[in-house]
Amino acid sequence: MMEGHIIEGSSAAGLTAKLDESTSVEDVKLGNFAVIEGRRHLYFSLIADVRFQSTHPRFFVEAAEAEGLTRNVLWGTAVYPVVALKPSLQVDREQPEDVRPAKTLPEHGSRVRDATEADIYQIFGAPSDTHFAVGRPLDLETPVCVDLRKLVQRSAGVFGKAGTGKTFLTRLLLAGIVRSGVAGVLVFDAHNEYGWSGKKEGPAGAVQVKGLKQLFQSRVALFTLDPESSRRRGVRVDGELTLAYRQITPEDILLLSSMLNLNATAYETILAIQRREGEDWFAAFLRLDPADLEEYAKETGLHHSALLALHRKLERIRRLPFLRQEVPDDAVERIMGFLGRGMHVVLEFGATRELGYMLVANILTRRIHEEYVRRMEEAFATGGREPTPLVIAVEEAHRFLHPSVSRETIFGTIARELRKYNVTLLIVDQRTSGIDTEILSQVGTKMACKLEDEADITALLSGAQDAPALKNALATLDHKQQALLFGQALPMPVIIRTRDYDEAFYREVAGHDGGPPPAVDLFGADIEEVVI
Amino acid sequence: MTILGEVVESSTARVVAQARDLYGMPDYGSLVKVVEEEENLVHYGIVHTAGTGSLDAARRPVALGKSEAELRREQPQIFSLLRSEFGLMIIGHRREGVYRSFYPPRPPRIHSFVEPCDDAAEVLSVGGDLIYLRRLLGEEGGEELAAAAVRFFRARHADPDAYTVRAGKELLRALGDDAVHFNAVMRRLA
Repeated sequence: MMEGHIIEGSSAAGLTAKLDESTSVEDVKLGNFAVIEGRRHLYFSLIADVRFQSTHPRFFVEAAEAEGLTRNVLWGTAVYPVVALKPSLQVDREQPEDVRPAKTLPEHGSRVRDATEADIYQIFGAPSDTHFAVGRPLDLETPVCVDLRKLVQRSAGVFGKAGTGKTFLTRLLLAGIVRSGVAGVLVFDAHNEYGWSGKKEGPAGAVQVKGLKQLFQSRVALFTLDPESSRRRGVRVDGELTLAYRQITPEDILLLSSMLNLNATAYETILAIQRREGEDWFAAFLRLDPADLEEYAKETGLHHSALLALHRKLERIRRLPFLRQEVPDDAVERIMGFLGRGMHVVLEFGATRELGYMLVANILTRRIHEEYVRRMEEAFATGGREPTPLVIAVEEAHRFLHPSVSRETIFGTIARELRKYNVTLLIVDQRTSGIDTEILSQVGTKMACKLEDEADITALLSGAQDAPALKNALATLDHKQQALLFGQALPMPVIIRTRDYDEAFYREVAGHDGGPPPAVDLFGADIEEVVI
Repeated sequence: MTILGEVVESSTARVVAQARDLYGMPDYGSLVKVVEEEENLVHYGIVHTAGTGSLDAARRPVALGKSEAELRREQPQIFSLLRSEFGLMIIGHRREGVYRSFYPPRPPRIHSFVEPCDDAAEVLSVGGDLIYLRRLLGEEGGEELAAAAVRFFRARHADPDAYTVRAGKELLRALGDDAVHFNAVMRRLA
C-alpha cells in the first residue's frame, strides 16, 4: 500500500509526493494509479516516476554508508523516495459523478494513496453496451472500460512488437464493437486471425480461439480471397471475393510501387495508358504481346523500355488468383449490402501475399469510402439519416500509411479527415515509426503493447500529453497481455492486463442464448431478417 | 520523597541546585524536576552540568597527599567545607496535569527541592516530545548533552531502538544539512 504527501510541484511540471516510511519503495510500480486527496477534489494520476530525493546531496552518500540505527534515521528523513505525479482527472468530492480533466492543483501536503477499485470504477465507468471492458489495472480487479462511441469517432491504433498480444487486443476490441453495434466493422484479415478462428498462446502451446464469425454467427459475413486456403483450414466462409481488372486504378498501382520496384516515372506512364485505354486500361495493356510494345510506344509517345519494364512488373498483379476479367458481381456492392444490413464483414486473405493484400484493401476501401462520402453528402443535403460509423481494421498498416505513400492511399485520406464521413480506421501495426507522423497524430486512441525501439516509442507518443510519463509507463509493460491505453476513448491513460479471451468472454459478447442481438440498421432502411 | 538538591540559583532557562549530599549529583543528561505544590506547577530540567568545590568561593581546597578514606578518618571536618552543585536546563513544565514542552511562566523559587523523575509515565510524557533536543543542541557541546538525554530516555522506553530512531530524525530536522553534528550525536548513541 502506498501512502505519501504532496511536497512540491507545479501544474506544468507535475507534482512530487514524498512517500511515508510505511511504504516500501519496492512496492511502488510505475504506471499504477495514484489518488491525491485534495481538500475539495480527488485527483487521479499515473505514477510517472519513482526516485530518491534528499534534504542535502551529501546525505545520499551518508545514508548509503550508514549502518544500524543511523541508517534507519537517515532513510525516510534525509533520504526518501518520492513519486512524480501528473494529475489527469479531478473529481469534486461532493459530486463524485463529475469527473473532468485536472485543471487545478491539490493543496500542498495533500495525502497521496493507491487507487482503490471504487476509484477505478468511478474513472472508467461500469461496463455497458457502449463501455467495453478490455482488461484490468495492474494491481486491481476492477474492469477498465473503453468508450466505444469515442473509440470509433476517430481512427484508433493498436501497436506492439510481434508476439506481445496486439492481435489478441484487436480481436477483443472488434468483438466489443460488433457486440455494441456502435459501428459496422470491416476487417482486412491479412493473417486469417479474426474471421473464423485465431491462435492463443497458452501454457500448453497455441490453442484455437473463436473468431468473429464463430462468436457472432449471422451478424458477421466472412469472405475469402483464397477459397483453397479457407477449405484447408476448415473455415466456413460466406462467399468468395473476386475483383475485376477494371477495378484497378493507377493510384492502386502507385501504392505498390516499392513492392513492384516501379520507378518514379511509372505512374505517369500508367496515367498515359489509362487516358488511351479507358476504364479497362489494366487488362488492355497486359493483353498486348511484349513484342507489340515497340509499336505501342510509337503510337503513344511513351518510352519503349519503360513500357517493357512496366508490362513485366504488372504481370505479377495480373497473375493474382482473385483477379478476373469478368466477375459475377461487384464485390464492393456485396460488402456494402452486408454493411447496410447492419452486418460486419471480415475478409480473409488465406495464403495471399502482401501484394494482393494491399491491392484488395486499397481498392475496396477506396470504393467503400466513396460510397460513405456519397451517403453522408446525401444525408447532409436532405437532412436524412447519416450512415452508422464504419471501422476499417487494417493490419500491416505501415504499408498504407508510410510517409512515402500515405498522401496517395485512401487510408491516409481516411485517417486525415477524421470523422467527417463516418469512416475511421483501426490501425494494427508492429512499428509506429513506419507510419506517417501526421497520421499518427490524428489517431484518437492509441493502444500500445510492448514496444522497445526508441523510434517506435517516440512516434507513438508524438503529440501525446505527458509523453515522458507515458514513456516511463510503456517501458514497464510485460511482454505479454499488457498494454498502455491512452487517448480519446479513455478518460486518462491506463496500463491494463488484457482480459482473457475465453469461454466467459464468448458468453458475454455473444449473449446468453448465443443468438444474435437485434441487427443494427446502418443506412436507415427497414430490416426484417438478416439472411446471408 | 527523594531529594537530590535545593535550588540556589534560578532563571527562566537555567537552574542551579546544590546537591543534598556531597557528590550526590544526578547523572549528566538525566531528567529531574522541581515541584511547587502550592502553584500546582512542576518544572522539568535536564542535568547539563555538575561539579564540586569549596563552600567559600574565596578559599580553594588544597592538596593534602592522602586518600579520601584517610582524610575522612583524620580530618572529617574538611568535607563539611565542600559542596556539590548541578545545573538544569529547563525543557518544559506541567501544570494541572498537562505536560508542555516550553518554559513555565516563571522560574522555580530558591530553596525549592530538586527531585529525580522516576515515574515511567512521567518520563515518557516528557521524553515523548522530542522538541527538547533543539534546546539542548543550542548549547555549547550540545551534541554531547543531547546524546546523554536520549540515552536517559531510551533506557526507560519500551522500544529503545525505535526511540533512538525517532530522536535521530528530530535531530536531522533540527540540524538541517549539518551532517557533522548529526554524526557526532549518532556516534554517542551507538
